Amino acid sequence: MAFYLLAYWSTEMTRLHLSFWGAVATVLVCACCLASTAEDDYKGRLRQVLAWADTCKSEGFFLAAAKIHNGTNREEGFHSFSRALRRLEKSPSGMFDIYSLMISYLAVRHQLPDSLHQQVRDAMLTARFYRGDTENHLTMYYTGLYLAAQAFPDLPAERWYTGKSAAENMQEARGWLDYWMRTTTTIGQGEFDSPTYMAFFLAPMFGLYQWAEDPVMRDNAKAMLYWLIADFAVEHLEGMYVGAHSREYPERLTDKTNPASVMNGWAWLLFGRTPPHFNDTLIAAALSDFVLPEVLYQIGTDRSTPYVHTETKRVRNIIRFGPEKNPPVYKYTYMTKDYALGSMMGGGILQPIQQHVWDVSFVTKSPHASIFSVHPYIGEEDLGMFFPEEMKFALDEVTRFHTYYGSENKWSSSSPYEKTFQHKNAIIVLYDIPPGTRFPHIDAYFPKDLERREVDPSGWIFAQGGRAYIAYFPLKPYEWIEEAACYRLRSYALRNGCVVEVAQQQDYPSFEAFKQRIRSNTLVRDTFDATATVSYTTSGGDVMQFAYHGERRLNGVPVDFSEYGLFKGPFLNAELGSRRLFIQHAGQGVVVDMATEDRGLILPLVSCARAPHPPALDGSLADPVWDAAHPIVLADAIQGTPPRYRTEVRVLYDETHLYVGFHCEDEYVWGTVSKRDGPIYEEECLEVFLNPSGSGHQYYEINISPRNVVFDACIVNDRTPQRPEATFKSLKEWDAEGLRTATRVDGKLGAPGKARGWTAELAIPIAQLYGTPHRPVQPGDVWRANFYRIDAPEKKSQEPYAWSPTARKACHLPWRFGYLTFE
Amino acid sequence: MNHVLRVIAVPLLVSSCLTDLATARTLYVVTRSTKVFRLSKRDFPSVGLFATRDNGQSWEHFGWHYTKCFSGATLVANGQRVYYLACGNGVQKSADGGQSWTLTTGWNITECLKVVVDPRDSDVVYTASAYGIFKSTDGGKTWEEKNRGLASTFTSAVIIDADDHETLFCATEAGVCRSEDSGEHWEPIGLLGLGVRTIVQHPANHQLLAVGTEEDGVWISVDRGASWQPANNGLTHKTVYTLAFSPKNDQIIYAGTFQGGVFKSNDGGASWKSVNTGLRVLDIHAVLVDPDDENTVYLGTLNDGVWYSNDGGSRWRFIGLETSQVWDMFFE
Repeated sequence: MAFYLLAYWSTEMTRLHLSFWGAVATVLVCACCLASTAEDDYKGRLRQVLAWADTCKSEGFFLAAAKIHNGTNREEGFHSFSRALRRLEKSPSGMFDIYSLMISYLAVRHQLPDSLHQQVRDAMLTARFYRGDTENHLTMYYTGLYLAAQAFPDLPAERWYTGKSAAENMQEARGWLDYWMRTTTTIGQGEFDSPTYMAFFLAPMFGLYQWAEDPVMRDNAKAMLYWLIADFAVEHLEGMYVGAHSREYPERLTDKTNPASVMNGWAWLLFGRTPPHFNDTLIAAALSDFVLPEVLYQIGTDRSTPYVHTETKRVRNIIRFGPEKNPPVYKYTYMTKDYALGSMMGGGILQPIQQHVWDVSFVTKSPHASIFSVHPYIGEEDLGMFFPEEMKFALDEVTRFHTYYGSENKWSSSSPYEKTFQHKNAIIVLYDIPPGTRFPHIDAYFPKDLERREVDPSGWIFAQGGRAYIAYFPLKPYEWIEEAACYRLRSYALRNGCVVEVAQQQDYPSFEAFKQRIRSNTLVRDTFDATATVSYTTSGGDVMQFAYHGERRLNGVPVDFSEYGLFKGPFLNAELGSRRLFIQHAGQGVVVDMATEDRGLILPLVSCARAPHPPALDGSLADPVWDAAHPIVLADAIQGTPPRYRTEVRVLYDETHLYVGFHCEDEYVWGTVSKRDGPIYEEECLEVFLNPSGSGHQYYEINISPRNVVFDACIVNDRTPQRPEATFKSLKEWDAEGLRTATRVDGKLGAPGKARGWTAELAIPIAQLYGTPHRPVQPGDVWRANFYRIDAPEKKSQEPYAWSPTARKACHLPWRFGYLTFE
Repeated sequence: MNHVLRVIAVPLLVSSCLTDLATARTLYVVTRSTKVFRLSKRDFPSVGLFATRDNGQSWEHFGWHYTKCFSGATLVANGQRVYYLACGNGVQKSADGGQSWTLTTGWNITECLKVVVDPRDSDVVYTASAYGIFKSTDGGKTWEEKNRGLASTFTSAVIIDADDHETLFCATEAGVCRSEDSGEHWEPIGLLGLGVRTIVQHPANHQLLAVGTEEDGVWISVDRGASWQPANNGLTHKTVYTLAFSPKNDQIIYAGTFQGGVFKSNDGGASWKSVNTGLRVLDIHAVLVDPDDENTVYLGTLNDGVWYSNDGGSRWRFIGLETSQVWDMFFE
């Protein structure tokens, strides 16, 4: 336990230089206090991964490291590690090798014999790791190079395969990692939401988080772990990565349990909703001390209420045939507990050969758990947009290596002639294929083991997958082709498409009722042949008008993709370009902030509930109205670790007041100051810092002592992240006029060991706070705030607690405050 | 030990007549891949930079084995042979005759398709990449983007004018561009909107330029790029990846095409004839004419290695690097 000098808050002159772990840990502390089940379960699955590695017959650095780490099969681990190193010298090596080598090496380096240390050092010259050309390639490669440069700083340039010094390698690696993190948090990933490749971003970030010595890189990696896991969690349904994908392979799209979709393993690891799926990338997590935040677990598993989630991602680097290098991609996902309908809107080629534009995925015991349609496009241009090689030859080469690419039957494709318009549980998919296109047809995938598949005289095809009712209206004549695992709906019209609506079984008394409802919906397609326009009125009464060559209109209003944000939905929200992701569930969460400092911050967030009526202020927190608040727990003000005593804070609001209640466990409650605006911060007190405007240069500090003495001041602060040691002033002449407070000590005041704690209640008049976004406060408003507790177990020492730890011996760092969002 | 020059035993399908191929000139071959290359596979032939000093009876491999390479250049500086390679990873350099290599560029200069060194200043290096032109003035230590005015930043080739080393010509996805100030500014000078794959200047007649295009065959300029004329009479395949002038005769031009093999013109591009006898594949990405003997010609194919003719293309013989995708060739 740290002890600090008296008057620590007011002086802030003596500073500790500490690596920053604090803000992040707050979340962990909060999670610990709320529930530990998710964390415990996650740790249990990590142990399962390591146990699996012991029995796994495959080879590789991760598996070898796990064996060494486990200790039960250490000699075999050494041999396996050595064999993997020898393979690097004899055969091509690349990005997959260097990152797994370095993470594994750093994880077990203290257990390796000298010979293996030397082999790893030598590999930096002999292995010649190929960097690759995709986003996941570069992220793996530069993670490996970064960690290698850190591990072998003394290796001269001539001992590196790059011909560069360790410092130069480090600089180059950091350059890419910074660029990738900045781009991902600004305009989104280019290789996004891939059930296969997301794992190859996650595993490197686990490695950097665990093994980077630079605390800035560690914090950045941790922030990216939050970011990426959140991105996955919100589109996770019972082990499936649902929605549209930038990249996935056909055999994996049609088999949702395919182990080659590496994220199946991560879905199990993070959310535990399926039987175990093991793969070696999970070992990167198992060798890390990263703790899965409760909020991310909840977002990945809570499907109690259907929700719409939108995202903006970007197209992989377009090197020719496009006006922009990275045009935006607009994603839309409608999630229920039984199914998810997801799509990419906008149209066009987003990725070469493997994009998956839409599907409905449903919860079922069958691995064939989705319905979707595709135009099996093949062309030089979609390769030329992304690859520098000669286009015509590349076509031949890609077809040779990805044999499905040249197939008219492929289920994964990047077609420039496919567009979608989704609204909640309904989607219109249109195709306008030019004459002369090589494969002039569209296919739709209907699993053979659907509970139902009925062709209705109305033209609709009705299906049931698990507890999802699915209605599919083909816009043009079609035929069924029976295959091993599916019925393929094939239609040869060039101007083509389908209308799809999905419902949960629970929404209808029977399948017949669902069919009846769908049949009664208005579908206007009279002019489709001439205009490629369709209008559909959903069961929810919304009118979707979609012109392939024109607008998407919902109830007559054009859809505005700029409203999608980088993330937008009940759980994740980020403005494009903001580099700030709000992650929340059930009133609690965090903000991942990559914009404010030179490192990733993870700041706490709490939702401020509206009080049905003002709480009775008697200092006891006994009024049941406080139950409406989402409780938050304070941690050590610098480190974010659990403090000596538990402190719980509740916040409510109404039109006129912000209500704050503190409940503090304590054995010695004391205070001597009796005069308003006296130095109660030098004794025991509770502090409310409110920054409604978010500017950070002017905010309010309202403190209260166990004796119900108030210190309140308006703060003007010149500090910024770049000038954290600049000055600030407390303008004590400001009084929160109308402020009402009450305190109560449980036990005896001023007697060591004679108390069990104390409570305080404050009713802060909002009218006294300048800079609020709205008056009165409106739902959706966001304030910056922090809550502190000064505990003084002895009269000459202080232990500061905070909601949002500041990582420095200072409380007036407003950019480190948490986020108060109003319900 | 890494990076050392290795002697590779390459299986040759043609074993006869090799003794008549002897030449003192070193031929360098840059390969991007092989027909069976795949990083996830563990056994396949090397790719990268190869050299033969005996017309393919033996080959030496330099540097990395597994990185895709698109073109190369060599020179002698300070008594040491220097190599540059334009690769997917960026520009690699060896300043010690291939013993050791440095990846000179960082993460943000990739997909480099061509590299050229200023013959009058060996520290000045240009690379044409999928992201534009980059220039180094310190032998590859640092690089600067030089894209101002380019018709497209997808650039397949760049050459330095033989008369004026400040004048550059560049093949882009949207036409031919020229810079008269060493890359500081570019202006489109022809074939606007066309995908240009290669550009060459006659080694003796510097007014004569030729380009090969993705879909539009060969275009020739006789006034150093001021005007361009199509030259496709008899050129039945219009996707032209490579062109080569006979150094001693500006009327003789070879064109390597996609799926059409090699075409030869004996009249400065006025007409073309197919010259494919003996070839097994017709995807050609590199043509090289011996500066001392206009009948000695080398071909680099996509997926079928290197081929040779000592009769001006009348008949071709395989000389090595089986299954290799040859992207570029050059002499020492």
